[in-house]
Formats: sequence, structure tokens, C-alpha cells
Amino acid sequence: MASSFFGFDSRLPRDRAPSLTATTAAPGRIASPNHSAPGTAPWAGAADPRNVISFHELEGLPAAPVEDDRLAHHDMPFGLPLHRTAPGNLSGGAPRTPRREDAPAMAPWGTPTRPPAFPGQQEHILADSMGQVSLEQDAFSKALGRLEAARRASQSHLPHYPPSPLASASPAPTTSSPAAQQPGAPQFVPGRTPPPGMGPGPYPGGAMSLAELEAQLMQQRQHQQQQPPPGAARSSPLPHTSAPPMMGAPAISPDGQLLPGLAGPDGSPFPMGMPPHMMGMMPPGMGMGMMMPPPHFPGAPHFAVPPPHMARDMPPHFAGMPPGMGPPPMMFPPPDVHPSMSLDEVERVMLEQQVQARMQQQMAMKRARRDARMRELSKYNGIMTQYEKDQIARIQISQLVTADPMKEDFYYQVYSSLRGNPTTEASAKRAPPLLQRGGRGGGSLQDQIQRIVQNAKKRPKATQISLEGALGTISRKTVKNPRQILQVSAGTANPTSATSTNLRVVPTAPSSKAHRKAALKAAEALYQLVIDIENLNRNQPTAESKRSLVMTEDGDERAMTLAEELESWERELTTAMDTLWGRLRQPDGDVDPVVLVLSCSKGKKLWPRLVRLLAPHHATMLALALFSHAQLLDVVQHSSLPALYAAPQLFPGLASSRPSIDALLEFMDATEQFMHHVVPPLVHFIADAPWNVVQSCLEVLLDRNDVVRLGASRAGLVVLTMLVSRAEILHQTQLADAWPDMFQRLFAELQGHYLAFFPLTNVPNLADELARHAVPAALLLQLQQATAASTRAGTPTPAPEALAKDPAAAAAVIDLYLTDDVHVWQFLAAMAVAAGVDQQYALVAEVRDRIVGNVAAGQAAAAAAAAAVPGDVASATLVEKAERSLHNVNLFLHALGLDASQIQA
Amino acid sequence: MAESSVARPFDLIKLNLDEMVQVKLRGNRELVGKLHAYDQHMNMVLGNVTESATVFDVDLPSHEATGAKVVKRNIEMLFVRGDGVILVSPRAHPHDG
Repeated sequence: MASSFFGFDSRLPRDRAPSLTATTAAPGRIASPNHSAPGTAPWAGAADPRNVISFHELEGLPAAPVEDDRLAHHDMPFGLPLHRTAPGNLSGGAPRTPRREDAPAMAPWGTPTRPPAFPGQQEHILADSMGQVSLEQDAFSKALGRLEAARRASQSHLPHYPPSPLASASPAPTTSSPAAQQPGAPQFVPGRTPPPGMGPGPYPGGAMSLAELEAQLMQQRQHQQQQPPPGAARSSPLPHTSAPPMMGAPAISPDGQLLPGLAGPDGSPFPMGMPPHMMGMMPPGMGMGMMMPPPHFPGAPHFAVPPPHMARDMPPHFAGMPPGMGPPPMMFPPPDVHPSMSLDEVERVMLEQQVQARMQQQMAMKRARRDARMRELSKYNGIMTQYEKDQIARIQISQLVTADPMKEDFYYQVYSSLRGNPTTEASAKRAPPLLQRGGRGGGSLQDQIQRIVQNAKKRPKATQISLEGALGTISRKTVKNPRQILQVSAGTANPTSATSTNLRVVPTAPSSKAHRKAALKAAEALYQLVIDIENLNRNQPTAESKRSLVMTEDGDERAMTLAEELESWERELTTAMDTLWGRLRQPDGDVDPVVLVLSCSKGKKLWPRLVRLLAPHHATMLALALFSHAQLLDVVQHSSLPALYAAPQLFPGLASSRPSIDALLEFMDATEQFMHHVVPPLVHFIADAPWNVVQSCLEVLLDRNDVVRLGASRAGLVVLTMLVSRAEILHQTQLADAWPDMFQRLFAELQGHYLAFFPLTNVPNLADELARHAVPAALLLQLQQATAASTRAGTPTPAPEALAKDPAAAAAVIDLYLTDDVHVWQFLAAMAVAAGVDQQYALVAEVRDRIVGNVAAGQAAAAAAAAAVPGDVASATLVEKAERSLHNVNLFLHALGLDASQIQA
Repeated sequence: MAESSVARPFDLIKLNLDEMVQVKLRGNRELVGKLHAYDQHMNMVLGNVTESATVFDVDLPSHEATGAKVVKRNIEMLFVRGDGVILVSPRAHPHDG
């Protein structure tokens, strides 16, 4: 016997859609059961045996009727619907008239896997083998025929409208149900859903006029009284319960009770008076229908006996709806109406019922469609075993999981951590990644796998992403590392080591290409080491972290203990730190590595991270090294660039030509990077340093450097200011006894040179140059921020992006920056605090002109502000400069105990 | 680790991170910008880029190039697909002799 997946005999004829030959009821006429058209009411088709394939014709095996024609298999040999005349005998032809004797004695339908349809059927199922099925089918069809006949007989007097499920929840069957639901009468419902809104009445939606309604109600009431409770009437078993529920078999359980959710008298799936929530629920006794419950997959349908408990199991599967449930009923309730109810009320009730019925109808339709789709989708279930599926899932996950996400998925990790911490500085992608909870990675492999699986389950991701504005789609599933075709081994080639040693000897000229390359190499090497150390710091083994494996003497692998893990981790860390320190103090030629590294902006950015990792004594040594070679720093070496650029005529002796605007911009950038990245850690260091450290720093600074040169540069001034003020603080707390002597020495060296520290007063022709050269907005932003300290709060600062496009505005910003003398005044103030009275006099005398100039400018600020043209950048700059000068000079004067207002300009 | 700072030819690009570089692309284009990131495919992220595309005026019947002009434009941040990269070279440093 041919059993399909769904366990029914596919040889058997399937449903066909009801013919559309039925006529619509004439208006005003209550459609009688015999003349109702299938198109007019959902239940109507079932009532008319001529219009549908009645159950018995199929010999008890209707396939799931699908209202969607595409999914339906219409077997139509010779253009006629299939019919079986005898078991195994398919013939096209006219439908047979039902034969009572044909109704089978409740044989199970289809395979024996259906639940028992009647008490004692269990044995029946058990006894039968596959070969017996046809016999059973025959018996079944006989029973169906009997039921049909009985049903039809009882329906002749019945007003033809569907029973409503909305009536009372009482299991007592209503009017037509008792008669119709003789045992074994599956109510066959054609597969096609009639168009909604067709009802027996003249109104849209099938509403009837009041008169008709009342007539119906009266008759119903009679019927109700006539019919005894169903329990008594029903004694015989029910083949229909094993009938496919989608057929709308009457809801009669073996014990004869009317079961919820099942066919009504007219073949409608629901009896009258069914509570709506019962719709779609299969009673325990319902047959399987076409849908084999999932537990029976994979493999051949079971011919083993479905235990009765399966019947119990079925309802959950059918919770949605009996598949292919026929056209959902449009039912009217057994009226709760009295004849005394007003016309309006009755009409209202009717309308409500219609609306509800239509909703149910739609829901039933949807369910039917969904079930049909489910069937299609599960057609090929059960081909792979669970193990195979797991295997593939494992392969897929293994491609996503990384042992070291910081190494292999660095950019995303940093990106997500930067997103997660919007407050942290995102200077470059190399910002120290402090992973937050949100980022994936850093955890153990197990965690990653779990996270991946959960995420995958949470939302099914598309295989392709298409971003807005991007051409084409981005394929999400790609292998992250392409296959390496070339085998390049590291460190084997002698030339590599030869060149590396060559490059060690770096020419002293700090501006040469080789020097630059050496600087970059040193910076990169240090970067690599810093990143490794930071990684190690981040992955300190904890109690929960994954243990690495180690080989034992027997050749087995075992996991290390926490102590061992920690030990090996510490060893790694120590080695790395030693390497770092080694590299940091390794001279490249005769250039100190500190100077070398700090000569590129990359190195300046690395500096704070580097210093943070070092042990305190190393950090001290590093600071000392920095101070001792301070004048070799690029920011100090090129400090004369602005002056050279702005006024080359003042330096007649210099062989070098006027520096380009590029060089100037680069110098400014370097200075700002230095101030921004290198100076703060140094400030921290010095602010906390004890006197002996400060003393050594000062000594080294004074011994090895020309402080005048240092003073000429902004960076140098800042460093000096730091040291001097710290020394003074320590001295005032009696900790720095040797300070005064040192100060004397410093003062003596600097004497007479203070004026040279001041920057230019203006930069001519800057705007013209900038018109031809793009200024990076980032630089402008930095410059703005740098000058913001001394500009009056509230002056409008245009956005850097806008500035970059406007050469005049950009020039103004640069001008402001280059002419800012705040550092000089700060240094002078620090000196003044530490100085004795005579020295203060000397200081003032030296910079007198400057003081006066600034004060005068400040006092003229008011006038300048008044004269300023609002939109003009140049005049705005003048105003700013004027105000700033006043502010700056006050820094010095306050240190002396004076104020600018005391000075007459 | 330190000695192998430049172990592979690819590491030479690492030296240019955060520096101004000059990239020559297919299609007669050149970029000058700050190299922010790169990967094994030579995909790159460049900042403050100036793209110079050389456009040839072709005399159609004879398919001869009659003239060439360079079209420049500035792009603030740019991702370059490595497919089209021909070469990457450090931009001449203004300080270099």
C-alpha cells in the first residue's frame, strides 16, 4: 500500500473542489439544504450531496482539502474526478449514490496509525495489517454512507444556516447537530472556501431579514425540543473521529459526547453552540488526518499501532487547526432571542454574529493556509540526523569563534569598545581597548560559542547585508583569513638581519630619511610590544578562564591548574616587559631611542601607553633619559620654524631657505601632539616625584642641554615650568634644600635671553599661502583648543571643518596659535615665584617692553572691540589678541604681586 | 619580536601607519593621505586624502590621447579596496633633505 509521508494511502482519490454549479439562493428565500449552493455558504456544500464529493464516495479517505488550488492535487483522469467503486478500483465516473450498506463499521481510515475511533477499535487496528486497510476503508465508507443518509434525512426540515460557535458553551448539541451527528457521519466539507459574505439571506454577509430569522429560530427551537440529548442517541462508535478532522467530522467522541471544535450537522466543522475558543482544537479522539505528527518523522510511516495515547498527543499538534479544515463556518447562534426582542436588537445581534463568524472564517482560512505551507515545508524533513546537523553547526561556529579576538578581529573590538565608551578619547584606532561587557571577545571560547549561538537564535540574519549608499551587497559569511599561498618564513633570510643591523647605525642628522625610517621602525616595534603586554595584562588567568593544555610524561594532555597557568602567564609577562625595556633603551646608532621614538607623531601617541606600563623605576629612568636629551627632541630642534617662516629676513645667515607651509604645519602638529600626549604623563610624574628625582632631572637637564634653546621652544618652556614649580613647592615644604643653588644656576644661564623666548607677533601672508594649501581640520581643532586656554570665553569659535575651507579663517587660527605667549609668561611666573627680590627685578627689567606692550594692547582692547567689524576675521583676531595679551601678562604680574591695572601704558 | 619588526614585505606598510603616504591606484589615480589602517588585502583607510585622477582626452577616431589633465579632489576619510592598489609609498617628508 502506498503510504505517503503523511501516512495515508496516496492511491486514494483526493478531494476535489466542489463544483461551482450551485445556484445562489434567491433573495428572500431561505435556502433549503437541497438547493443551497456551495458558494453561498460554507456549510452548504456539505449538505448537498450532489455538489460535493461525499465522504462515502472516497471510501472514507478524503485527503486534506486545500482551499488553495495550487497546492491541491487534483487527480482527474479523463477529466473526471476520481472515484472508487470498489476497493482498489479507481474509476472516473459519476458519483455514486450513497449506499447504506457501504458504510463501514468504523474501520480506521488510512493507516493504522490513527487513534481508535470507537471503543474496541484498538484491537481492530492492532489486528489489521497493511493489507487490511482497504477493507477497513470499505467498512468505513459504509459507515459514512449511513451517516450521510441519516444526516440528510434529518436536515430537510432544517433552516439552512450554519450553527454558530458563539452560542453557549454547553456541550448540548443544538438543533441540527443531534440528527446529523449520527455515528459515523463525517461531515465532509469541501475544500473550497466560499467567498465570504455569502449567506442564505438577501443581505450582504448573508444576513437574513428579520422574518426569515424568526422563522428559522422557531424551527430551531422545535428541533431542539424534539431531539433528545445526544448522549442517548449516540451509541455506536464513530468512524468519523478517525476521519480527518479537516474534513469537519462531527465532534463526537467515543463516548458520544459532542466534542468541541468539530463538525456541525451540516458538515460544518463546528457544531452549533461551540464556544469560539474551541475552534481549531482537536478533540482527543480526533484522527490524524493528513498531517502526520512530527514524532513520526523521519522514515516510513508507522505501521505499528499508534498507542491510544497518541490520540492524546495529537491535540497539541493540531492546536492550530485541523489541516485543510473546510470552509470555516459562518454560524449563527441558537438564538437567545425572545420573540419579544425588538427588531433592532435582533438585527444587531445578527450583525455581530456575522462579523464574528467572518473573523473566524478568516482565521480558519489562515490556519488552513499555514498548515498547507507547513506540510509543503516539511515534505523533506528527516533526511539528516541530529548528529549531522550538529556537525555542520559546529563547523560554522568554529569559523566564527576566535581564540584571540583582539588579534584577529581587532578593529571591530576596538570599534565596539569605542562605541561603548563614548567618553573615552578615541585618538586613533589604537586607543587602548578597554573592553566593555557589550563587546564580543576577550572571553573564553566557550563563552564565545554560547554567545554566538544565542545571537544566532535570537534573530535570523540575512546572508547578505546591503548598506544604504553602498553598491552591491556585503556578504556576511566569509572566511576571515584567505589562504596563504606564498610561504614567507620570518627571520630565515640573512639579508633581513644584515639590513636590520645596518639600519641600527643611524645617521645623526635628525632630518634624514634613514633617521625617519629608524624612528618609524622603533615606534612600530614598541607598539607591537606594548600591544602584547596590554593583551597579557588583559588576559590574566582567573579561576574561570580557560586552561591551556600541557603534556604529561605519559604523553597525555592535561589541563593546567590555576597556579600553573598563573605562573606561565607571569613568566610571559616578565619576558615581555624585559623585552620592552630592552628595546626602549636600545640605542639606534648614537641616537637615544627616546628621542628617536618621539620624533614621529606615532611615537608621541604611543608614549602615554608606554609609560603607563612601565614599573616606577623604569619610568623614572625614562624621564631622566628624556630630560637629558631634551634639546634633541624634534619639537625643540625645529622651534625656530615659525620665525623662519614668518620673517626669514631676520635670519640672514641661515643657509636653509624659507620653510614651506607644509613644514610649518607639520611642526605645529608635532608640537601639539607632544603637548597633548607626552607632557601630561610627565606632569604627573613630576608632580608626584620626590625631591631627589626632581633634583636629578634638573641636573641632567641643565648639564646636558642648552636651556636657552629649550626655552625658545614651547615644549621646552613647559618642561622647565613644570620642574621649576615643583622644585619650588618642595622647597617651600622644606624638602628641597638644594633648590636655591640650583635655581641660581638656572637663572644665571637664562639671564638675558628671556626676550628670545617670546614668539612672533604676527605671521604675514598666511592667508594667501593657505589658500593654496589645504589645512587638515584636525590640526585646526587642536590649535583652537590650544589657544582656547587664553582666549576669552564666549568668543565664537568656528567649526574646524568650516575653517579648513576658509583660508582666511584658518590663517587666523594659526596666527593666534603661533603668537600665543602664554607659556612664556607662565614660565616667567614660575621663575618669579622662586626668585628673590633682586632676581624679580632683573626679570621685570628684561621683559619690561613686553609687559608694557601687552598691557597697552590689553587696554586698547576695548577700543579695538568697538572698532571691530563684526564679520571680519582680521579685526576679530586683533581683538582676541589684545584681550589675550592682557590675560597673559597678568599671569606674570600676579606672581609678582602686581596687576596690569597698576601699570600705565 | 622587536627584531622582526619588519620581517615581511607587508610590514613595511606597518611602518607607514599614521603617516602620509602616496598610493597609486589602477585607473590612473593617485592618492595622498594619512594611512590609518590596512589589512592583508591592502584595503586601506586613508584620511585627509587628495585624489589626483589623470584624465586623458582621447581623440575618438584615432584613439590617440591628445591631452591629459589631472583632476584633484579632497576627501576627508576614505576606504580603499585593496584590489585596485598598485603601490604604497611614504610621502616625501618635508623635513627630509
